[in-house]
Amino acid sequence: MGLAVGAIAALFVLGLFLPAHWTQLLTRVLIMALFATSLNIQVGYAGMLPLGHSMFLGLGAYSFCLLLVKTGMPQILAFPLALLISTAMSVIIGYFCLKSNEPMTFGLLHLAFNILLSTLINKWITFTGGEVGITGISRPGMLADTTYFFFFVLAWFVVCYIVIGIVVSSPFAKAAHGLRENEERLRFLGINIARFQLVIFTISGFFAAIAGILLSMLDKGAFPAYITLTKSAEALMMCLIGGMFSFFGPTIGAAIVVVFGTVTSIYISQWQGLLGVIILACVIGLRGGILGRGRKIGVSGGGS
Amino acid sequence: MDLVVLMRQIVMGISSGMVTFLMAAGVSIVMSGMAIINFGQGAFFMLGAFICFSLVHVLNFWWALLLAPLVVAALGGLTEFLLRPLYGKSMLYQLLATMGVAFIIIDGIQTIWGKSINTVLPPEALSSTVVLLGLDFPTYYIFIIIISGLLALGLWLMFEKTKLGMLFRAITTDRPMVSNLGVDVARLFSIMFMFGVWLSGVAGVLMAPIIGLDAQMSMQVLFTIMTVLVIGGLKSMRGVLFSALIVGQANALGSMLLPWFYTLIPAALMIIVLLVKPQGLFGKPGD
Repeated sequence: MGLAVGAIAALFVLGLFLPAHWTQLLTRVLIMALFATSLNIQVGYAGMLPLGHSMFLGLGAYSFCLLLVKTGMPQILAFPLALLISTAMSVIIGYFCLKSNEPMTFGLLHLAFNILLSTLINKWITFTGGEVGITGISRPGMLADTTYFFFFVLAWFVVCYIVIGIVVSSPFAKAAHGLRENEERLRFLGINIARFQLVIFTISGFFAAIAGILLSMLDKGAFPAYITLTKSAEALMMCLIGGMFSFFGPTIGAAIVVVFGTVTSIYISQWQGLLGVIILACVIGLRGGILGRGRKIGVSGGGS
Repeated sequence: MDLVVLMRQIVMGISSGMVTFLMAAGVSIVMSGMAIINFGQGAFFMLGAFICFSLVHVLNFWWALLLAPLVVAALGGLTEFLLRPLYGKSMLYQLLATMGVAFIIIDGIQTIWGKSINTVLPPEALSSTVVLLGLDFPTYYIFIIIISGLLALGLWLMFEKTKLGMLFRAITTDRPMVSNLGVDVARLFSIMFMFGVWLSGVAGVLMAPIIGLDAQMSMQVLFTIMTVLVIGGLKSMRGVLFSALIVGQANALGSMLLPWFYTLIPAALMIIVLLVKPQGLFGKPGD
């Protein structure tokens, strides 16, 4: 707890003194950390395998930007509205993905929706700007300044993490944990698995959408790169590298992946391959991730 | 509508369908026998195409067709070795590990061959057109169809008639028994995986003269493979062939009739199949 407060204070101070492009990098790390943590609500805590989570990042970003561009409403209205739209879509997509009760089918349907939405966004050039995306969204008032925007994101980061923290340590979450370890037993206890998973799914999508909106504010637009399969895989990688069985694992993973991608790419052009090596090493060696050495690896189903 | 144009599109659809079948079959075989989903199949495909590109400059296309897939298969063998600790583990780890391999391959390609898009010309003998049923068709596409068809036939023969094929099938059904019979299962796994990747290498060489060689397209290829597998059934060879041809035609005819909308068809089909019959059109319950 104290560590967390200390870290936030440190980030605040960093934000004050770092030069602009470092602050921007830090902002991106926070946003992606939120994205990865939203994913981990499903993966690490409930043992679900969402293979296409980037679609919620993209839905958040695109809903926000489309609302701004098509209706001209102020950002302070567009934000909650975009969030509402994305969360509604999360419920719908979640319903369909969970319908079959098979983890593999869930994963593949999730992937398929990701592909569908990604293709739709890339091809509907008149509406979404196609491969170019939507650009020219500038931040209002004080937020136009990099440092103030960083504080804005930091505030969101803290609030979201507190909420997620409450959710995952509640009795509700203990049940989710049970879902991961022994689904059958949970069923016998009378808990409605399907509805339960849908709630988790929606919460996860909700926070991913927030990350998406913040990301589009950072990048001043919405881009197809937000919704690719690769982005979904990156999120999974962040959870893996940092440790999916701990709360801050995905955050560490996100920090590593984002900083790696941005900084290393300046010095080594083969950063993608290097990332591949790291992932392989983590999967084969450190399967609990950096923060989870020695934890039992059991994703969904099967007692003992 | 111009009949010639239509027929040409159909032929292109069949040829791309057949090539996709080869790659998807590679994933399916590995999936059935080893319970591993190789998400790097798209990257291996692209690698095959790039190796072909280099070999075509040094030797010729025919040598490339022979050698490139073998090189790719060798890399597949290395991959299989690295993946051994993951047998029986959740799909998540396999997804990430094979994607990690894909990243490494994509980067390797860009390091060796650069980031610009390369092209390969089809061999002299196949560059023109051939007349079938009174219409002109580009010979190369017919060539692809014939070669893939022969390979598909060869696959079937191998599975049904040879000892290796029999062992492959036995492993799918009852692995412990096979090793009880004294068969070196580990080596068999190695061969299986390399074979699956080899198919992708062949697909890469076959497609090299038609597509622009771009490492980043590997993921796009993977989409198509996954879509075909899901629609047809991850473990059913017949289903994979059928769905590969359907998706190939949907793309070929769709690109002509419904210009931007057609790209949504494979993903939409994938979703519908998963909702209605999750094991795929030809799959048996239990995935």
